[in-house]
Amino acid sequence: MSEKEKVERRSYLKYGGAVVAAAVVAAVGYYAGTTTAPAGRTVTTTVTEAAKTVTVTATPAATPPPVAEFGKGLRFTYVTHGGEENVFWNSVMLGMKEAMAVLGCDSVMIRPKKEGDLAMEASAFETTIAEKPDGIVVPIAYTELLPLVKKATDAGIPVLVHNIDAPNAEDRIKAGGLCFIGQDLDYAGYFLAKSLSKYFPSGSHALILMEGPGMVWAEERAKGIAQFLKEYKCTYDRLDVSFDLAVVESNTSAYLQAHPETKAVFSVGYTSPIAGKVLEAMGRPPGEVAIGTFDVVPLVVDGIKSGYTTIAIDQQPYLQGFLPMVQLTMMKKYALGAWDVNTGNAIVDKSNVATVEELSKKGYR
Amino acid sequence: MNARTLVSNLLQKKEVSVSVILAITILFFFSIQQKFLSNANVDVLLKISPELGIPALGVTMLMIAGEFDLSVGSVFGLAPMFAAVMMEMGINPWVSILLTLMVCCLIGITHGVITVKASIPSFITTLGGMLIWRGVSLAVTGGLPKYFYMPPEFMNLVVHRVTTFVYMQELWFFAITIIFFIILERHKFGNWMASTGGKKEAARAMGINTSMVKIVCFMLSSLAAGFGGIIQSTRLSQAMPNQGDGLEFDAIAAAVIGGTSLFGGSGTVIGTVIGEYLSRIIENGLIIIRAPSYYFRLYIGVVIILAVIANLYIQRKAMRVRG
Repeated sequence: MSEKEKVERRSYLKYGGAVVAAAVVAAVGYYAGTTTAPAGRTVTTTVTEAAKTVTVTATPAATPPPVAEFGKGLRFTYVTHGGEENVFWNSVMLGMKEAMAVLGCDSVMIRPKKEGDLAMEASAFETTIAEKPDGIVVPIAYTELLPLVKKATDAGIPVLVHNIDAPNAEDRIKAGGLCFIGQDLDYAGYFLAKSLSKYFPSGSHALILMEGPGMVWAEERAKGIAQFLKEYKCTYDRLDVSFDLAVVESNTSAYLQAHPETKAVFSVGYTSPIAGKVLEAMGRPPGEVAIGTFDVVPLVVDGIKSGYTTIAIDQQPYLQGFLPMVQLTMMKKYALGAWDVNTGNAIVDKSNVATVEELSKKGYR
Repeated sequence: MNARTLVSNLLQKKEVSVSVILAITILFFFSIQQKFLSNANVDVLLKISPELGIPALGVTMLMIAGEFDLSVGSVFGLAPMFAAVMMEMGINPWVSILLTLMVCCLIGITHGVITVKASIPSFITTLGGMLIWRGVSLAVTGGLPKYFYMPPEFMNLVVHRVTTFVYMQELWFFAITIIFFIILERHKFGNWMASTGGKKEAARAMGINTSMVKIVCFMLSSLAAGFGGIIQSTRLSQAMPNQGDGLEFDAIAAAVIGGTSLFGGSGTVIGTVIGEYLSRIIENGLIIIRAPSYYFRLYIGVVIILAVIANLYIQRKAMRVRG
């Protein structure tokens, strides 16, 4: 190879690197720009809708509406276990950010680099207590967090629990957790199974796909589904899978081949629409097997549109981010008490899937 | 030359010994449950395997050249995300895909240049890459999933079902395997790769530009990972920010089961293809024979270790017969 060629290759590499860097920076920049734009747009709509009850007249304007002064000076912290790649928690965060814009208070959400990292969540919690914000919002993903809830309460910081409650709500109340804003997971599983039971006969066989075996949220939902199935006199199997969709497809296919008598498929996460694809490939018509799932992601929306996925339960993560801010601000300003909210019984089916699809594209559902 | 020597010669080939294991596995599951080889089940196995197999092919090439790539799962997620974002910006889907694949190449080249120029283990470079590229797809999208609706022409080219058991993604998988096979076995670049991975100093002394060889292999690895991600997103019409999470280990496992050395210098892409099918089949088969579901991971772990041991055993045995 000649010297000239070498130089050329090197400069290709150099320019190549520059192009990658530029592309990445441009994309991030572009998106940083656009993600704030929809936020601005929705702030105005939220306010006009809220105006009915709050009696604040706000006209859609580019400048922040006067309400933004409401919670000025208040600082809140969300400590969570939802890793940065977790789609669900991004909607929670969007809710928090928009509440921030509407109320004018300041808030941050601490998320671990690795999903469900207890050590990281606990240490972030400790740090937050030391920093003394005006309120803390935390999901009790692990009961080990309860002593920290108590510590924060003892330090005079109000703690609201969202997303996941302690397995025994009494323990949370004893520790000082003032309310729970989220989906009662056990009940959500029960609610899903019950809502789907219109579409499959009593006494039949069902499959439960477990995307997070051993994790509280997954086990609790599975427990609820199983409880209803028992009451409905159905037999069921649970199949441990992950969120790797290709593997879910192969495993579900194998299961449905081996158990053609299956009349309903549930998932504790969002993967059961894959079962619809499998059934379609097997040449079975939509509706023959009822499919119920959680959360609103493109896979679920497409599944419902195709007719193979029957219903999905949306636990409305946006509300789990938005509402704690409202409550904390009220508590701080007017010494009002916190209140429990069940965000988790919104059913998505063929009748409302189009609306939900539009909102899900923006991260609200 | 008698029949026995012929068989032992054949069995010494990694592809053949792992195929024997594959055949035994298939027979085992089939003997317990005939539905294992039903059209629908075979169909789904053939349909999904390329998505995970194509990245594994890229990883195999890189492992032969003596390096690792832990970033394939993240690139698998980034590529469709990147294409989706470009399409949202109004760029033509074909151009978006082309640009995305170019970006994947550049990502691989970047990993390669950093590894080679800074002389750090690729384990570290690509561990960094794994976090960085996952981080980029999260930052770009705010972590939200994207719809991934491609024009029908593109879908026909990438995920179309040609006829029973024949999918476009499979044809891509085999075409890439054949190209890589030719590079490895019939082209001097393949020799360069093996020497670079086996004995770098000797390769250098022979006048091989080992840095260039490695950089090209890094590029192939990222390109294959990105392409795999695009196939999956096209098939499911969605790009998820967590897509491909953990794929790096599946890819390395497929390569190693197929007989590629963890230490570089030797390996086979056909072995990887078989290794990939083997790992998919084990999981699928366990379900179809109704093995109790709580024990799946346990079984799969045991079976993977046994498969690799059996592979080595068959090869050694074959060598002894010959000796």
